[in-house]
Formats: sequence, structure tokens, C-alpha cells
Amino acid sequence: MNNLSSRQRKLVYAGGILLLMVFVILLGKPSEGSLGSGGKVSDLREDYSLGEATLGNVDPASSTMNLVLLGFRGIAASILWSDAEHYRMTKNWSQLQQSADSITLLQPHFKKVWEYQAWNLGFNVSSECDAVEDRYFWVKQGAKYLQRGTIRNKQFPELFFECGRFFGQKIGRADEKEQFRKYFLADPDKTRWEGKGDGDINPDNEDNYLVARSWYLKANASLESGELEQHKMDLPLFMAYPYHSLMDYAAAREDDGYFDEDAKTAWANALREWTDIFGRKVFAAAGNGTRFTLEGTEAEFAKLAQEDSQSVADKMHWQDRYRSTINYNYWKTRCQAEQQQGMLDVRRDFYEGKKAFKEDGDLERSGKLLENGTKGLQAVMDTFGKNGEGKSVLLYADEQIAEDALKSLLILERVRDGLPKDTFPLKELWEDSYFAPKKEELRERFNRWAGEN
Amino acid sequence: MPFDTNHPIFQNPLVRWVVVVCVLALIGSFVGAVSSWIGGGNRGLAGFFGVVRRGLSDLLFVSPRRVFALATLTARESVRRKALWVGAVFLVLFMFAGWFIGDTSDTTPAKPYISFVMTTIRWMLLPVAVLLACWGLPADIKDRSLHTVVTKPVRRSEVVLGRIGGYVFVVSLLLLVVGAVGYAWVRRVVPERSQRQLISRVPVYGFLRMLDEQGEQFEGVNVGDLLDMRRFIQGGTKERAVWQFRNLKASDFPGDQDVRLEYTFEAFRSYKGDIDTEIEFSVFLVNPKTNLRVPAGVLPVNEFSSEVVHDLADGQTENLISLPRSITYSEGETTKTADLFKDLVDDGNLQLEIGCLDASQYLGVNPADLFVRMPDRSFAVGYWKTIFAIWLLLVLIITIGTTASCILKGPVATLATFGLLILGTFLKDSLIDRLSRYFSDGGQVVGGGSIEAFYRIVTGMNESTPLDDSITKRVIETLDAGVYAMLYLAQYIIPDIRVFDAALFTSNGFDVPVGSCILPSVLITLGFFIPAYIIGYFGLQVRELEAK
Repeated sequence: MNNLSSRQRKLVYAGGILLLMVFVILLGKPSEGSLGSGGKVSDLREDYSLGEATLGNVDPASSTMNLVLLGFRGIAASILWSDAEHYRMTKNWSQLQQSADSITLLQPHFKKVWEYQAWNLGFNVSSECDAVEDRYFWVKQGAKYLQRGTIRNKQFPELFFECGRFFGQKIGRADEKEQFRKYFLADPDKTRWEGKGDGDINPDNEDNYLVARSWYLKANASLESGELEQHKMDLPLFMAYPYHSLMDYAAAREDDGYFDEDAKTAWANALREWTDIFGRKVFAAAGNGTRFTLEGTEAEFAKLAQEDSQSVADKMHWQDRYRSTINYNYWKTRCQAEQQQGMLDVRRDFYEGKKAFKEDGDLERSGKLLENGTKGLQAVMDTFGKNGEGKSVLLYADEQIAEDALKSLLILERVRDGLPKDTFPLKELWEDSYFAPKKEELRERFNRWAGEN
Repeated sequence: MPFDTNHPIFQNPLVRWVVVVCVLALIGSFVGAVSSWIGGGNRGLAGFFGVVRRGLSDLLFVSPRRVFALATLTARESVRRKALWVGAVFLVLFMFAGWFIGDTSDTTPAKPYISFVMTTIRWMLLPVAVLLACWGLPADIKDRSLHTVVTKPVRRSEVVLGRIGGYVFVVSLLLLVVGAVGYAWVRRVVPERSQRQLISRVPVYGFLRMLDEQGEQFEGVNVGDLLDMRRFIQGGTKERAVWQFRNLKASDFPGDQDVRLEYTFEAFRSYKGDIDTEIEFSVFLVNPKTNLRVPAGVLPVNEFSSEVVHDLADGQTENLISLPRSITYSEGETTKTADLFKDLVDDGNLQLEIGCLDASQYLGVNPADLFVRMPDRSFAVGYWKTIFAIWLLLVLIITIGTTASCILKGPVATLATFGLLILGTFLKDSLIDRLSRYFSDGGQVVGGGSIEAFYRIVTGMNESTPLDDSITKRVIETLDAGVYAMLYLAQYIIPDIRVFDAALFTSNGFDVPVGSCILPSVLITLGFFIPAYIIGYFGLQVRELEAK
């Protein structure tokens, strides 16, 4: 016992509490974001990447939920998952979205939740709606959901990659791509976005492929930071996506009917980035880890071989294998061909000729344009020369060009009641047995397409 | 099968209630009489009948004045115990509600906001009601403050009623406040474009039948949807979905208002078709007596459009078939006019034929997919009806909790009440499902009852392998039959809490129906209140109030 009065004892306790608080604050002060701005424990947490803030932005609601639920987070998350599944089954989409949001409050760093539910909203729910505007709305909801996932989890390259896939493939390659691409630049919700694209997913009102490219680049940057690996595909395939997006952008502009200088520049940029940036990246071969690049002179390879104490032949072997895996040469040749003025004119003629046939029903004009186009393509092919078997290098390197040419020849055949017997441009393609199965498939599709006219 | 539960007499809810109450009373009386006789012989038995006789008069002759005084006392005590603090917690929750709603943009529908308010109110106040009701009486017994009450000229029945009344008053006060705050919050935070969803639609549902190409009734096409909620008719054919609405009167639509019908059909495309154009359907009004067929328009299906907030002009509503009183239509070269109520509505019956227009595409329908939308009521009507349903639930829980606390100690009473609440909310469905399968399939259910399930677990047998025909099987089945019989009775002791959930109507923009929600809630509350009051009284009567 001591002789202190009750008040004195309370003061001593208060003093003790204050003193302890000083130590607690010094040790446990939370970080303000910059390195060293927190207490000792916070610094250690940052050093070892153990804090939640190192994974991404911390959501106060998520932290509160986890705190309030004590140890019942797992049970609560399971109930929400079962709710989400129930709402999906009963086609209660807005409630499904709410459940999906709630799950991420409880499991913010569970990558699959973001991927799975974003897919649910953007693909499954979207396809349930009949109006294209409504489908687009749900695609956006899926994309926004995934975007929130990347804010909370900056360490997962796959989440950034999936965002890229949403904007690139879902918007650019769906059945509704024509409408989706239009809506991406001029949202159907005119009141909110005033005739522009949805600012939440397209703040700079860019083409969907350019937005996809920026997400793929983020995925690559996240991967190159070395925090976490990706487990989707072979590394060079994964890292090629931003560069593919540039090509998709250039091709999509032509599909939309733009054959201006921008189209040429887009292809030129795609070629430059494909060969100068992507082609120069150093990859390690799966299995034995041999380092190689997809582009490079023999001298550069010799230097790399010397550094790794390996033979140049070994390096070249792996380069060839990976070039074949990612169709490197095909894309390179395509970019080289497409950026030529002659090829641009061919594209324009094919586009207008097809339009004159399908939409205007002007067969004479269509025939003229397509004849012009095939002539032009023959000229471009000639500039690329022949391979050892005497076949066109361009056609064999780029099957897309071959397919587009065959489509135009099929229309021409219909318009002119058959192709000339003796000679005509692209005759080697038309009569090549290698392309015969493709020709038959396209003929069948053409008959259906033309039949709808 | 222990007894025939399908007997018509058991189908009447009132009869079922009387049977359950009588069975409970008989069991209680029997246990009471036997234990009194064992404890005190004939004197004990006489004492038991004395208690029952006094009980009957105590239960019937209560003084409202004394009940009111006791209720006031209980309410004051609850306030002293800081029960109202929950209101403050509620306000704090609402300040941060946006955190929990998820993606809140101006395209978010009103539904999640309303659901949030209703769920919060419900699950904030239910624990308060349980804790207040279950701990009040045991705490008073422990503090001996109940002595000051029971030593006054007060009947024990009045104590029970006073307790229930006091707690109900406190919880009602809380509910009123949080209900008002919730209402203001919904009005304020629901995005401007979703404000139009804050209404109480009053639907009148019709009867649906589906006709095939020959005009014969058929079940409709199953397009492979797992849920099988809707059946489909094929487009470009004579297949039709026919609705008949009854008891429609012109006076229900004052001021010559149009008769509005709202639809929520589903589309199923068997091929892609023109994706830029929605699947469409035609509407015909038919008077079967006069064979008059009047076209009422062609509309897009607008599938799931209510799940997305669309850009609509003021006053415009989606998915609406608006029928003017006088309909002008063309028949060949001539233009004709038909009066809706004179020519088409026959003796209050209105018949509509829906056909899908797109060939080889399908239109999915369900009886509730088309309804006559009577003049809308304000959102406040539906909202406060939902609050009323929550209030009834709170009264029920307080009644059960107070009764439990008359017999049991605080923690046990709390567990019992919470147990009933959880069982009634989450497990009653599966219990009823299991029982109906047991009784409708002659006692055969996959995996058997609890004893059989235990046996299968212990012996590592899967649930579909039949048991060997042995004495063990017969013993197990007999025991399980007993368990099922007990569960059959127990299902009526577990209140169906989901009936009280009116939030589903309000959050979807519907008025809360009195017939299928409010009235059953009132009856369930009353149905539990009467036996609970009796049990509570006898529990308190025989309880040793000196015990701590």
C-alpha cells in the first residue's frame, strides 16, 4: 500500500498511460505512404512487404468489416458467395453486383474473386440482356470491378492483364464489337457522359485498343517489378499483348473505314514497337533459362552468348522456337506490308467494294473497286518477292491478308458471274491448293452472308 | 408414417394452431400434475389445480392501469440500461453507409440502398429486443428489485404483460427514430436518376395460360434454363401467352386514366439475328365472348432493363403497356374504335394475348411477368408498412424472449430466443422441405432421419445405399419416425420469420401487400403471443424469486 490519494493515483495512471503512448506511437505510427514516414513497426512492415498497404490501396470499409466480423470473416464470405450464386441463378443482377462488391470487402486480396466476379458481370450477365446498350452496361460494370481490383492489388500482373483483355477482346472482338467500340467513345448514357465515353474506364476518350494497351503495359510493368510472377502463359506471349494491341488498333481503324495517314502511322508505330521494344526484350527460355532476344544482330547474339558462356547457335535455336511460338515473323511482315501506301489503298478498295456490294447493291462499282484492290495487292505481293518454293512470301507469312483477299475474290466472282478463265490478279492465291480448304470455308460463310442481303 | 398429416383438417392454419396450443397445454398440464403429485401427493395435486384455477382468473382479469404502470417502469429501466444507445450506433453506421454499398454511382438502382436500410434496421434492433427481453426479468430477480413489484397487489400476468409492453414501447421508440432517419437517408442518397424507383407500385396479377400453334393449352418450351422460372413461346408462330385479369372496374382508374400494364419478359435467341434490334412482341386485347381482337401495339422485350438505370424522359416509364379508354385500330382498310371497358373488359375480365414476333426466337413468360399496375402509391406507404412488419417481428421476439426469461436464466433465455430466431430465418425452409419429403414419400427420404444418418456416418455408408433388411433397420426407422413426428410438431413452434420480411417488396418498388405479408405477420405474432403469455405467467408463478 502507499500513501497516495485516489486522485493522485489516477494522475499517476494517466501519466503512465501517456508515457506508454509515446513509445506506442514511436513504434507503431502508421505510414503516410512515403518510406520512413511511419513508426519502427511500420518501417519493418514496409521493408518486408508485410503490410496491407504494400499490396495496394487500403479500403477503410474493408478493414472495418474484417475488424467487426472478428473471426467470422470466412463464414460471412461463404454466405456472400452463396448469395451471389443465388442471385445469378435467379437473374437478380443488381443484387449479384452488390454481393460481389461485398465479397471483395471481405477478401480484397484474393485475386480469383476479382477475376471470377468481373467475368460474371462482364460476360455472363452481359450476355443475358437483349438490348446491346444493356449488354455494354454490364461489360463496363465488369471492367470497373476489375479496375477496383487493380487498385487494391497492385502486385498481381494478371489483374492488369485481365483489364486489358476486357477493353481489348471483350469490347473489340465480341459479336457486338461494332456497337461496343462506338459506345466506348460515345457512351449510350448521354446525360452522364455528355456524348463522350464512360470517364471511369476511358478518361481520355481513346480507342478501346489503346486503353487495353495501357493496361497490358501496366501488367508488364508489374511483372518487371519482380514482385509476383504471372501464371497465365509463357512470358513472351504475355508480354507481347501491348504490342498486339497497337496492331489491333491499326486494323480496327481500317475496319471502321478510316484509311488516312493515321492508319499508316498506327501500323508504323506497331512495327517499331514490335521490333525495337518487344523484340529487344531479353527473355529466358522455359526449362533451361537460356537468355535470348527476338530481334538482334549476330554480333549482339555473340555478345550475349559470351556473357552466358553459351554458343550463338544455342541462342539462335531458342530465338527461332519462340519466334514461332508467338508468330513473331508473321506480325512483323504484316506491319511492314500494312504501312505501305499501296496496301492502304488495297484496304480502302476492299472496304468500299464490300460496302457497295452489301449495303448499296451497286455491283458495277463494287466490281471495279475489288478489281482495283486485287491488282494493288498483287503489286504489293510482288514487292515482297517469292520464297524458295516460288510462292508469295507475303501470302504465306500473313494468312490474314490471304483471307481478306479471298473474301474479295469471292465477292468479285459473284459480281462478275465468275472470274476470268485465263489470268487475273491473285490467281496464284485463288488456285493454290494450300488455301483451298480456307476458300471453301469462306465460300460457305460468304453464301450465308450474301444471302442475308 | 406416424399419423396422417395430409388430413384436410390439418390444412386449416387456425385448426393447426388450436391443435398445437392444446397439445402444448396438455403436455404442460400433465407434467405439472405429475410433478406436483410426486412432490406432494394428493395435497400437491390439489395445489396444482389451485394454481391452474388462480391462473385462469389472473390471465383473464388484468388491470390495464397496473399493466401500464409496470410497462412504464420497464421502459424507464430499459432507458437507464442505455438501450437507446443503439440509436447512436445506427446513426454512425449510416454516416459510413456508402462504404458498404459498394459501387455507388448515379447508375446504381435504388434497390441496394433500401435493402441496406432495412437489413440494418432489422439486424440492429433484433439483438436489442432479444437482450432487453431476455435479461430484464432475470436481472431484476437477481437484484431482488422484482420483490418490490410482486409484493404489491399485482398479478403475475400483469407483470408479464407490463414487461412485454415496456420493452415493446422502448423498441418502438427506437424503431420510429431509426425508421425516420433511414427514410430521410434513402431519400437523400439514392441517385437522382434512380429516385423514380422510389415508388410503391400496386400490382394486380392475372392468370396465365400458354397456347400452342393449334390453340391448345401447353406448358411452354423449356430453353434449358436451370432455374426454369419462365416458360417460352416460339416467335413467328401462333404460340401465345394469354393472361386473364379479373375484377377490373373503370372506377379503379379515376379520371379516365389509361390502364397500365407492366411487363418483365425474357428473351431467348436461338440464333444471333440482328443484334441491334431487340426481340419484339405483339399485344392483343381479346374479348372471348364477342371474339373481338384489338391490337394494342408492338413492344421491345427490354430484358432485365429494370436492373439498369436508363436515361428516360420525365414521366416516361419502361416496360409499360398503356391502354387508353378508347382504342383506335385498323382492320384491313377500315379504322375502328373500341371502348376498353365496354367492348373489351367483360364482366371485369380483361384478356391479353402476347406473341413473339421474331421467327425462331423465344419469349419467356411467368404469371407474375405481366400485371395491371394500379395507380401508384407513395414510397412512404411501402416503406412504413415494411417498418410495421419489422415492428411486428420485434413484438414477437420480445414476447418469446420475455416468456423465456420468466422460466430461464438470462443467458439460457437469450440462447433459446436467438435459436428460434435463427431457426425461423434460415432453417425453417429446409426443415419443411425435409418433412414434406418424409411424409409424402411414405417415410422414405435419401439418407433417412437423424438416427439413420448417424448410423451411416459411423459405419461409413453413403446415403443412397439401402440399409440391410434387419432388426437394426427396423429399430432405426422406428426411432427416426419418432424424431420426424417431434419435428413435425416442432415446425409449428418455430415462427416463420421470413413472412415478416417486407423489404423485398419495398426495395423492388412494390407496395407491401396486406394479404400476403402484413396480415400473416399479425396472425403469427398473435398466434405466438397468446400461448407465450400463458406460459410466461405460469413460469413466473411457479418460479422461486428468491433464487439468484
